[in-house]
Amino acid sequence: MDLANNIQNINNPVLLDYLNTKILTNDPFKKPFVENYKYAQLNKHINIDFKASTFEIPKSLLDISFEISSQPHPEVDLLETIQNWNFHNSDSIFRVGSLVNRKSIQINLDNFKENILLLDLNKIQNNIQIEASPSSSKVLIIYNANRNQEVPQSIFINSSKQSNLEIVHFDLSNKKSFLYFQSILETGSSLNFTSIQYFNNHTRNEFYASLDSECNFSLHGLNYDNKGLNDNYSFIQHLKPSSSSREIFKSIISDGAITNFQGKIYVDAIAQKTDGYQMSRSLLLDSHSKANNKPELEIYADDVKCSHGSTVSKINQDQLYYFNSRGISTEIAKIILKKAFLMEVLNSIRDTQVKELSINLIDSLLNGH
Amino acid sequence: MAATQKTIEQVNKLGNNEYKYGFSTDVEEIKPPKGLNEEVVKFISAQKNEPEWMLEWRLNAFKVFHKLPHPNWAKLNIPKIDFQDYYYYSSPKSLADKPKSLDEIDPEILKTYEKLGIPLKEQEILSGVAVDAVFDSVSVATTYKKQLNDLGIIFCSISEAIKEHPELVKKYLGSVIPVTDHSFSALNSAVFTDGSFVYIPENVRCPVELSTYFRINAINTGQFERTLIIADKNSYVSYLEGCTAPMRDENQLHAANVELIALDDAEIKYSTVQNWYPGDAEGKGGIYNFVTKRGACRGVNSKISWTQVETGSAITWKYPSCILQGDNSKGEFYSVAITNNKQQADTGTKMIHIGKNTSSKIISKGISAGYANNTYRGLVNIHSKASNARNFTQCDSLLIGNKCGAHTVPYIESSNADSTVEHEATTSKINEDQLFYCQQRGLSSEDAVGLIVNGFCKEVLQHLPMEFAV
Amino acid sequence: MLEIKNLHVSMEGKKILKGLDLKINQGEVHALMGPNGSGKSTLSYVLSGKEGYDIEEGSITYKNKNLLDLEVDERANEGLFLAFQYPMEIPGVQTSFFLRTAINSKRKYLGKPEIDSLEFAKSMRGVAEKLSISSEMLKRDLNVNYSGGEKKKQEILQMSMLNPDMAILDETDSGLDIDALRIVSEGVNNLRNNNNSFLVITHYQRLLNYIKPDFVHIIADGKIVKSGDYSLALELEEKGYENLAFNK
Repeated sequence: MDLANNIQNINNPVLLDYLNTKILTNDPFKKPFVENYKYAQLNKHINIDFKASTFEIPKSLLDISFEISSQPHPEVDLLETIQNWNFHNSDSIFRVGSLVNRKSIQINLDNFKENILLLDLNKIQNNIQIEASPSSSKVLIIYNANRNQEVPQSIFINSSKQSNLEIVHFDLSNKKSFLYFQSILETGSSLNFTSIQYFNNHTRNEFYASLDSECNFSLHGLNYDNKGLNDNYSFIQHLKPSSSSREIFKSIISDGAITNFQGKIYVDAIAQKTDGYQMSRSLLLDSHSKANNKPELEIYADDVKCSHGSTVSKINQDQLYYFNSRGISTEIAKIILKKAFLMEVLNSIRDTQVKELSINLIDSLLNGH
Repeated sequence: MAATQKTIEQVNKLGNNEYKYGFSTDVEEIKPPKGLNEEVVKFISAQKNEPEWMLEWRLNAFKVFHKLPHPNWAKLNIPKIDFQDYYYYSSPKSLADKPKSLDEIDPEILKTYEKLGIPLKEQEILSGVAVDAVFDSVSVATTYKKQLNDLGIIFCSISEAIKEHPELVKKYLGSVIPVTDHSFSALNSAVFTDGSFVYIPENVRCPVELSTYFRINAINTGQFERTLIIADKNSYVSYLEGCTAPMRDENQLHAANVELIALDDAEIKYSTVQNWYPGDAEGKGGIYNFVTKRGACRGVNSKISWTQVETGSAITWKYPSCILQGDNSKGEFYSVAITNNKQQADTGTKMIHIGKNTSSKIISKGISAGYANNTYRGLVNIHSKASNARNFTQCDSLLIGNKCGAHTVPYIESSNADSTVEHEATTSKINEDQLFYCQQRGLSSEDAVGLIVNGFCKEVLQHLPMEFAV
Repeated sequence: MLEIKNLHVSMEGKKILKGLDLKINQGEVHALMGPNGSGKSTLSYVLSGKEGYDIEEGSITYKNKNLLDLEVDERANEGLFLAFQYPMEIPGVQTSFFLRTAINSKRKYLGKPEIDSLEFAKSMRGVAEKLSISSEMLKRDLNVNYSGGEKKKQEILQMSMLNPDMAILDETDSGLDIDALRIVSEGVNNLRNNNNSFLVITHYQRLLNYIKPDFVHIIADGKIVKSGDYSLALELEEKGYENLAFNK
C-alpha cells in the first residue's frame, strides 16, 4: 500500500503516463502491480540521475562482433505492438514508460552476415524490436554501460519459428538503468539469454518471455559487486504445450548492496507437458547487505514438471576448510569458490568465444583486475 | 476425528459434494440486531458482563477498524463483504446463564457435539484430551477442568479469563497481533465473542491435549473467536482446534485471532483441523475463513510449532507465523491444504528471525482439484542481528485436473551473512507410475489416489497429536 | 616428525579425546585402529586444524613447531596432508585446476615460482594413470558425481602430487572394492620413503594387508589403549575390539 502511495506522490512524467494509461489493463492499480514491485523501491528508480558515460566497450567485445547500433534501421510506432500483447498479469512501468518515446527501431538480425552481433544501447535512444527470422541462428551481445539517456528502454525480441538465438547482456557501471526485455518465442524456437550484471549502482531489469509450443527458453543471470539497489524481475509464461524454461540467477552481495530477485513461472491450463525450472542463489557476504528473493509459481495445468528453489547463505565453510587443508589460503579459496558459484551462469553461454570473454571478464573482476 | 482418514475421504470424494457436518441444530438464540456499529460492540461486551477496560479496548479497536484498509496481498477473488449483513453475536438462549454443569446444557447442543464426534459428558469424554466447545459465540463447556486446575493450568473460555484472570489477559492480549495489524485483526478485537484461554505455569508439562471445537450454527452469523495461549518458562502444551459449520447458501464470515506466547524453554504445539463448510460444487455458500495466527517465541530456547490441515471453507487466508525473538528459539510450520470445487486458499506462514541461532522449518503440501485455487504464500525474514539463523522450506503442490491452479509465492529476505535460507518447491500431478502400481495390485483408482495423496501429506500429518493421527 | 602429548579435545561440550599420546618418527608408518566413536576421525580433524574442536589440554609438535599455532593452510603447506574419509564436493571447480592451485600455494609458501603448466599436466597425467584415473575425470568438477572409490583415488592423487611429509589417511579403505583398494594402497606405497611418515586410520585390518605399518595403535574412548607391531592388527582381527581393547 505504501508503495502505491509513494508512487502517486511523485510528480514524474514517466509515471504519470503510467498512471493515466488504460491501454494495458482496466485497472493498473490492481494487486499484481504492487506485488510485482514488492522489493523494487520504485520511488528510488524514478529519480533519474544519469551521469555522463566514461566507459568504453571492451575491445575484445568488438573483436568478435559486428556493431549494429550505428547502422540505419527502420522506425515503427510501438502502439500497435503493444495492443497485441498477450501477457497475463504483467503490468509494467517500463512498457508504458516506453510509450513516452513511442518510436521504436526494427532490427532484423538476419540482415547481417556476421554471426556475432553487438548492440550498444548507449548509441540508440529508441526502443528496439529485434527480429530473428525462421531457422536463423545468431548471437547478439547487448551492451549496456553508463547510460546517459533518461527514458527506460524496451527491447522486444521476436524469435521466429525454429530460430535459435543467443543473447548475452552485459550490464555494468550504470549509475541508473532500467531495461525491459520482452521475448516472444514462436513454435520450436530456442532463446538462450544470459545477463551479466556487475559494478552497477542502481538497476532494474525486467525479463518477460512468452512461449509457444515446443520452445526452449533459458535465462541465466549473474550479479556481482553491485552497489546500491540491483533489481531483477522475470515473468515466463508457458501458453502452449511441451515447452521448457530454465532460469538461474546467482548473486554475490556485499558492501551494503541490496539485491532483489523476483521471478514467476506461469503455466496456462492448456500448456501441458511444461518443464519449468527456476533457481535463485545468493551469497550474502556481510550483514549490512540484503538479499530479497521472491520466486513464484503460478500453475494451471496438471501434467507439468515445475520446480523452483532459492537459497541465501555465506560461503560454504566446509569447502573453505577443504581448500585450506590442501594449503590454499582462505583469500584464494574465496576467489575460487566465488567463481565456482558464478560458473553455472557463465557455462550456460553456448557461443565459445563469448563464453571465454565472459569468463575472462569475471576472472579479472574476482582478482581485482 | 482421524485427520488422515479425513484427508483420504476428502480426496476420494473429489468431484462429489459431500460435507458430513452440514446439519444444523434447532436452538433458540439471543442476537443483537444485524449489522456492525458501536452499539453491537457494547452489546457483546454487556452480554459477557465484561469489565470496563475490556469494553474500552473493544471500542478503540472498532475505531481502528474503520481506518484500516482491507488486506489485499492474497491471490484471492473475494466478493465484496457487506459487514452490515451479519449478526455479530449469537448465543443459544439456554446458555444465557452459564450452565453450572453439563446436566443443565440444552440436550440439543450436547447432541450436536456427539454427532460431530466430540462427546462432552464426563463418562464419555475423550481420554487424554480436554475439550472447550464453542457454539456460535459462546463456550459451551470445558472438560477435564479440575484435573488441570490441580496443576495450576488455566484452560477456560476467553470470556471467563477476562473476568477471572484480568492481569494475564491485559498483559498478553494483543501483544502478538496488534489491533492495528490489519482490518480483520481490528474487527476481531472489537467484536470477538469467545475462544479459549490457556496458561501453563512454570515447569509444568500439560499432561493432556487441550482442544477447542468451534461450531458455527446460527444463520448469517460471523464467528470471531479469540484464542490466547501462554506457556510460561519451561512448560509444554499441545493444543488442537477443530471447526465445522452447517451447509447454508449464504457465506458466513469467520475471522479469528490466535496469539501464542512462549517464554524461556517453553514449547507450544498448535494443531488445526479446519473443516468449515466449503460451499457447494457451484461455489454457493461456504465460510470465509480469514484468520490471523501468530506466535511469539519470546524466551530463549522456546519453540512454537504449527500444524494445520485445511480442507474446508470457501475462501481461506491464514498465515500462522512465528516471531523468533529469543536466542536459540525454533519455529515450525507443517501444512496440508486441500481445495476442491470452487474453493480458494491462500495460506502459508511467516518466520521472522530476530534472535541468534534461531531456526525454522516449513513443510507445506497443497492439493488442488476441481476449479480450486491453492496458493502457498510464506515469508522468511532474517534480521541483520540474527546470526547463525537457519531456515528450510519445502513446498509441494499437487494438481488434479487442469481447471484448478497451484501457486507458490515465497518471500525470502535475508540481511545476515552468517545465516542460511533454503527454499524448494515443486508442482506436479499425481505420479502415474505409482497410480498404475497401486491399481495393478488391485486398488480402485479412487483408493489409489487416496493412498498416494496420503503419502504426499504424511510428512505433515504425522505432526498432528497422537489422538488425531492414524 | 609428529608428537602428540596428553591431548584432550572436546566438541560442543562433549569430551572426545581424553589424554592421547602418540609419537611418529620420520620414515615410519603408524596404523591407528579403533571402533566407531573412539575418536579416530576427531584426531585427524584436530591435526589438520578444523574449526569447532576445543583443545582443552596437551600439545602437538610437528617438525619442532607448535602445530596448534598454525592455520589450516599453513599446516598443509608445511607438508601435513589429510586424506578425507568424506572428500568435499565442490561444484564449479575443475579437479585439475584445484590441484594446480594447491601445488602453487605450497610453492609460493616455500618461496618457489609457480609450476610450469606443461610440467604440471605431464606429472598429473602420469600419477593419474597409475591410479587409473581417466583424463576425463580430471576435467570434471572436484568430487562432484564421483563414486566413492573415485573420490578416494582422487584424494590419493592429490596426496601424490603434493608429496607431503606427514600424511594422515582417514578410513581411506571405507567404501572401496578390492581393486580400488589395491590401487589406492599401491599409490600410498609408492610414496613411502625414509623421509616421510604416515598415519593410517582404519576400522579394519584389511587395509593393513596392503599398507604394512611399522606400528599399530588401538584407540578406545579417546585414548590409545594398546600399541604394538603389525601382529597386533592380526590379533585384533582375531579377537575383536571388545576383548582386546577393553579387557587388557
